[in-house]
Amino acid sequence: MRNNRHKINLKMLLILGVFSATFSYSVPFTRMDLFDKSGNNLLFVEFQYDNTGKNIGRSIYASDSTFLRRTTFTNDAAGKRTREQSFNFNDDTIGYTLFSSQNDKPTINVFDQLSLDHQFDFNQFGASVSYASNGTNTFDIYHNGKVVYKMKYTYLSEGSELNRIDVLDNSNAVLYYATFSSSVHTAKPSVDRILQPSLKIFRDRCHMIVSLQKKSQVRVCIYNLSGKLVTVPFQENMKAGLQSVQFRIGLSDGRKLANTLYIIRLSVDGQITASSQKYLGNMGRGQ
Amino acid sequence: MKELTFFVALFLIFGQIYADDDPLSTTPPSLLFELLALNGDLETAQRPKYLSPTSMTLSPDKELIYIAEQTAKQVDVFSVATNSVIKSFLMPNEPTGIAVDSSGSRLYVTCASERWPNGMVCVVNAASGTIENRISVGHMARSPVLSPDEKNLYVCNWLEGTISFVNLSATRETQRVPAIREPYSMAISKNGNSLIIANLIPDGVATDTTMASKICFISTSTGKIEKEIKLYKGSHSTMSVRLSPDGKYAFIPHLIANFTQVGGTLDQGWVHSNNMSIIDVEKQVLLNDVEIDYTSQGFANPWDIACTDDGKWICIAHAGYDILSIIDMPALFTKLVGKGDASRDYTFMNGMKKEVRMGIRSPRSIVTIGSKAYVTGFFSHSLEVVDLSAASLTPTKYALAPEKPLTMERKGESFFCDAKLSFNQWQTCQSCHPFTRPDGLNWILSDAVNAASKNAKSMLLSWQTPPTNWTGRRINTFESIRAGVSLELRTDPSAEAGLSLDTFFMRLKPVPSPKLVKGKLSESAKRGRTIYYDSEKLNCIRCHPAPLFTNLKAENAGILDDLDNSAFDTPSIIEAWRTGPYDHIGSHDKMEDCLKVPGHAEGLDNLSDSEFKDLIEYVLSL
Repeated sequence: MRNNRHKINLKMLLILGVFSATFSYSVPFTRMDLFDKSGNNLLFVEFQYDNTGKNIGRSIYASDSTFLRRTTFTNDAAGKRTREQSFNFNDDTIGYTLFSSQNDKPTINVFDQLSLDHQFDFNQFGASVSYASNGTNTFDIYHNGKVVYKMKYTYLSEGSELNRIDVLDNSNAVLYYATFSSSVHTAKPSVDRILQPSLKIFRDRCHMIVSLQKKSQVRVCIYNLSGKLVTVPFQENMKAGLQSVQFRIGLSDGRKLANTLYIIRLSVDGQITASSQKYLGNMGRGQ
Repeated sequence: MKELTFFVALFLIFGQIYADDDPLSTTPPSLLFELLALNGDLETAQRPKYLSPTSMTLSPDKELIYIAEQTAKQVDVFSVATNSVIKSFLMPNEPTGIAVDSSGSRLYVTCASERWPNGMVCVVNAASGTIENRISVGHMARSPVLSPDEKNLYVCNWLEGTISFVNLSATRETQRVPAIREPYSMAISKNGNSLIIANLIPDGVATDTTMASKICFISTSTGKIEKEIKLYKGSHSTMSVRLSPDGKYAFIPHLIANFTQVGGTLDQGWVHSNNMSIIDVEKQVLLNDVEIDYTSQGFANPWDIACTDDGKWICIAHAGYDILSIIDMPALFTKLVGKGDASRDYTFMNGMKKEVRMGIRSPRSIVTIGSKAYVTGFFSHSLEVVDLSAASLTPTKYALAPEKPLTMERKGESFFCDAKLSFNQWQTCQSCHPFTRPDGLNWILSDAVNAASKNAKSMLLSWQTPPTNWTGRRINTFESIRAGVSLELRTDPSAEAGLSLDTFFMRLKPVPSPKLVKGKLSESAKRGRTIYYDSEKLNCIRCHPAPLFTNLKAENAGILDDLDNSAFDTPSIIEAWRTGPYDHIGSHDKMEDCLKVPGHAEGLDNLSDSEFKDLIEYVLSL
């Protein structure tokens, strides 16, 4: 029985390897946590995607998972966002955001929805908010025509997944920041989606096979269930073709991981190709 | 195996498309700005980050004052030696109160806001400002007090009407017990046996002409109410409870609403007087209630009280009139001996009270150190110090942060709480509409004397749901604001005051109901929602359609009213969980009873008991 399962797993692994060369699966971040400069978690956002990968909505929660509002999007024929609409717990509209461009800067105006024809809706911020690039991965935020804040985007590696956004004041001091993960707070992270059959763990070693179309950077990250990056046990530039990814499960300083569930993600050139939830307890003691 | 292979292939094909989403399109720079600004974090032209100092607590050595700054979401540490802010600690939500342990090493900061009312106690390292723990408590948590042995912390869950008991070694809430209605402030007896709780507004039906807020004593061992003290008729807005230095007496500042007579004038507390109740803590009885106004001068909205340690002075911050009253405590108790009801004696304070005009706007918090009173104002970015022993009682001002110009909305909020809009400063808008919501009482408005007294209305959504008043005789809030200031405060509002109040009213937002579970409808409320919208079964949506939950029309809901038995303006039921008693004469304090009035809810007989409960759950979740 055990051997049969092993055979199936091996078969699966090969199939996955071949398919992953052509059709790499990617899980975009599903959660963004916002913190103040003292590290207090203020709120988090869960992003929803349709089956074509388009971000179609988001839900906002306070940091204790209290629902605050959800937002849906409207795009024009060219796929460009024109409007977002926010709803409360009762699915009643509570506000909307209009998208436009001013002096070539993407611009938003956020309104309260008063739902009365004879009233005007209030601009929540008193004026439009726009942004423009100011160097690599850095943006100036304009409010009422003046630069009021800056946003700095940090990626795990060049061209790869988004890791953090810092909100800076005009002297570049961090005021707030956002981190990203694929874990969903209100539901458990997806389990055994693709990689599970091919993720082989023996003692504290793990072995995976990937099939690469071209020379690529392969990276394995281990996150805790809160979506915090725990360790990066593998990161290498690998040639095209079937490649073996082997790594030891443990912290970079040689210590063992705490006994609990983790999310393991494999990315190729920054695109997440597989994600799995695993219990990684007592690694190194013969599991 | 073939099927599995096909499935995996299909999944991966879709996965490729999935990979195309650009992180920048999902999280453009404007998104973070929007999220943080709507959350009250980043400043905007419309929403500057005001401090709004709301509560102060002393360190045990009295060298530091911890100031909870509500809208800035921070605690400032003010050094008494340098008269300056030496540190600021950021909080995850708006701080509402602070308790300090006897070693001065830990602060217990209650946090909650109208955006995110689920309360928490942040256990803060007083040296570093690091939040070591967050302990969940109830809705709109505030007024934390420590037990004398510092093993337990008690918290008022204001809009939920409960008290949380928190075991500090276990860092969790162990018990949540009912108070009476809107417990806003609390003290603990010196022996730690009883919590003394000020319930902000009266409970019960408003047709009861003896309505008044109650003070309750809750046993810390059983969690049960051991004594209820109903204050004098019409008492409400009990903003604080403070003990005398020996712990024998509790002082409670409050208003007395003269709600059973027509508001023809304001002098001598004809509509509202401003008072202080004195409770004997050991005997758990009301010792007396004293008038703190003069015959022709009101001192609107007494908010906080502090006694000097030597028992010489009682200081009262009048949030409506920007005055600090200083009462000679020994003289007060001497005069109270053998004195009957002092709640209407406008000469009682003669010779024993002095007043200091403060430079700060809406003083709401006081602490005393020696003979000095330290006072902060909700609409000011400074702290003022008054030396009570000095010959000249002039406050000295120290900045907490640079002042910021007030937006129209903020100005409106300030005018709402400003007795300078009122003849002889007897009352403010806040007096009848605490925090813009009803005081629970029935009033006879001065221009509607030949009608039944009407239950005070919530100002929430008044701008969006014209006409106003129960009879709908004002076409909109614009008119009501000006008529209200003119007829009830007896002054002519300036254009600036009117426009600011308009803006403030327009921007009022509902507070999420304590019935919501993590911000969402409970299972029962979801079932109730289905019933609510089922027009075949019940016709709620005919008069209370979403999203405003009023059809903006006059309807006869079957409420008996001998004087004007007719249709009344349909109120929005958003925040109905908070705004009882219900109907235009406040004759029902439970939504269940209000719905069962014949002629009110059509088709109610079609509902089972559980369906009816679900419906109520939904309505009280809005």
